[in-house]
Amino acid sequence: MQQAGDDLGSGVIWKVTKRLTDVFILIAGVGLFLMMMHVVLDVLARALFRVALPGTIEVVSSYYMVMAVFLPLAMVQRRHAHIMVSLFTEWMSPRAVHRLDTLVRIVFALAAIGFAIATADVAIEKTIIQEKIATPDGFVLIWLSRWLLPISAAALAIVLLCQVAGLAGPRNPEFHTEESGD
Amino acid sequence: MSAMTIGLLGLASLIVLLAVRLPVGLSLALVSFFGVLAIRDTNAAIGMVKSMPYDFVAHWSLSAIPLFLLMGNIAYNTGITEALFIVMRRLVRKLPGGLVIATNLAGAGFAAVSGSSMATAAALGRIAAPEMIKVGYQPALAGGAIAATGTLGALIPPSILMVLFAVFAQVSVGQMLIAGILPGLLTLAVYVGMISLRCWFDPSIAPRAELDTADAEFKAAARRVWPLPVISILVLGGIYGGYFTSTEAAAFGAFFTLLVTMVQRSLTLAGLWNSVVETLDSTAAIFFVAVGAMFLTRFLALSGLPFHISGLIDDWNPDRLTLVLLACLVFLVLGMFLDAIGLMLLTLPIMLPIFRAYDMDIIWIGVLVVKLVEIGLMTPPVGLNVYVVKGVMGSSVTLGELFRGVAWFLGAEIFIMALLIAFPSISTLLVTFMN
Repeated sequence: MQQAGDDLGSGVIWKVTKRLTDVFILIAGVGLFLMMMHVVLDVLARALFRVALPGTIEVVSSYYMVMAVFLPLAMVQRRHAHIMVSLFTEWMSPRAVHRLDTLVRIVFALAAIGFAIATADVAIEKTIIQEKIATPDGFVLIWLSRWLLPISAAALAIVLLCQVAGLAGPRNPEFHTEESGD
Repeated sequence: MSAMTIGLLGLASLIVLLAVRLPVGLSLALVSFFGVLAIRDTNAAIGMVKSMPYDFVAHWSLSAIPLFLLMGNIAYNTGITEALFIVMRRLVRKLPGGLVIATNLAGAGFAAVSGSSMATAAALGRIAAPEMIKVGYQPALAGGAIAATGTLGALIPPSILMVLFAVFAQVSVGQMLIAGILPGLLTLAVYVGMISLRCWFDPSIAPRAELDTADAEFKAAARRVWPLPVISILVLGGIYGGYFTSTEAAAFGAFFTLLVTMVQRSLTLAGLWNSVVETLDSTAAIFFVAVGAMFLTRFLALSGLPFHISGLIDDWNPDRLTLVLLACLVFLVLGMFLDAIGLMLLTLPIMLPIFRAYDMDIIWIGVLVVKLVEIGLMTPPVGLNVYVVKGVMGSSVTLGELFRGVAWFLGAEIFIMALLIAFPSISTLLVTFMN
């Protein structure tokens, strides 16, 4: 898989932002590993001891999946790896493409901020009611995972704004569509 | 303005947004948000944004996707793919076009642990292309074969596209995965047949070269490859026999791959980190589009557009074959411009209700749809697999040559599609024997 140019940007803000995306990936990576282990142990426990680990489905769906999907969004943007169509702009000059991309990033950042606000609202609401899912052996608290959405969207917006402000350094303009992984 | 007009306007603005390089997921989300806002009100639109992404992602069946991706990335980063190519090269060295056939076989093998067709194309491009060029194979043949081989990844399970289709169409993920096996093998067989014939008639495109691998190298490679069939038997056998759900199979597959590569000492810490980062990157990118597609489904449902189109088709009353061929045409045209996941998720909200109204086998339709969007990855001007191969092969081949090389495989695909449409049992046979 191609890794589109990891930028050579400079400045404290960009360094902190990069570190933030790294930390998010690390957390999501731990989640991914736990997802694998949790499911494997659940199957083994059922096969060998005829007991299921409590709350496997709930924890996998509400925590590990949400971590794996939302936390890396900022990193995907940092690597310019979001799926897009670059066909119609191939005839444009690099300068025009750059201007267009800046505009697109501003729109994207605004959308990310809007998404962060809307989902933060949900997260606050679910925190107050201590949202939980009932399982056969009790319940799993899931309100905590609601916060992953606004946090991830905010990080995405920060990366986008850094890129708009030119803090992220020059970029490789030729290839954006890889890494869609279908 | 009627809801339907808003729906049509939404689709038109979607095309514009995609054309100005807005990420596909964002385009889908924006169009759907403002569409719902126009049809209903602000509350409905914000409510959709608040609840749908979380509800969609926090989904047990979908968790198979990151786990399958992890399994493939570990296999690639530990050199299993490369070893597979060495083994295959040795096994088919006597055949005309041996290296191309080895590429196809290795591609099918890698597809059995990798859910992604572009990952398959990229992996093989790096390993097989330099060798084929070195022994004087025509670059168009070499590159075309690699781009086409990538499409096997979407049929031979595990397959990310199949999992997504199953979840969107609300059919069993396990059944959908199993349904891809025979069509995948059929594709492989037709490809190999086509390549052999071509190279036999025109040996200049694939000169006979001394392909003998040193025995020691072959044995070393074979030792590294053995986990592959074991993993795929574990994963597929588990799903087929009903022992595993697809998520459980994916977790076991990833775990076993990790374990074996650790024991073989081929997995470095850097390799593990790369696998995890690549997996998360792809997962987030895929789900971003998928969540956008969920929004679009909601928006279009509110607009009544799919219902209206079904009505139109009802009035016209075509037979099933015409309907399927029409769908093929739509996918082929759109596939020239869109990425596979985007294309599939974009069209399903409109197409699925129609296929359901005709009481067609959704599993069979799923195989056809996945096949068609994969063909779209090979057609110009936006054949993403071809671009991936071009990116990997660099200056040794031009884009024009690549598309010419791929054309032969597109010809083979017409033949395969005809078979799949004429004989639905190729897709459904294994599923009927499940459980």
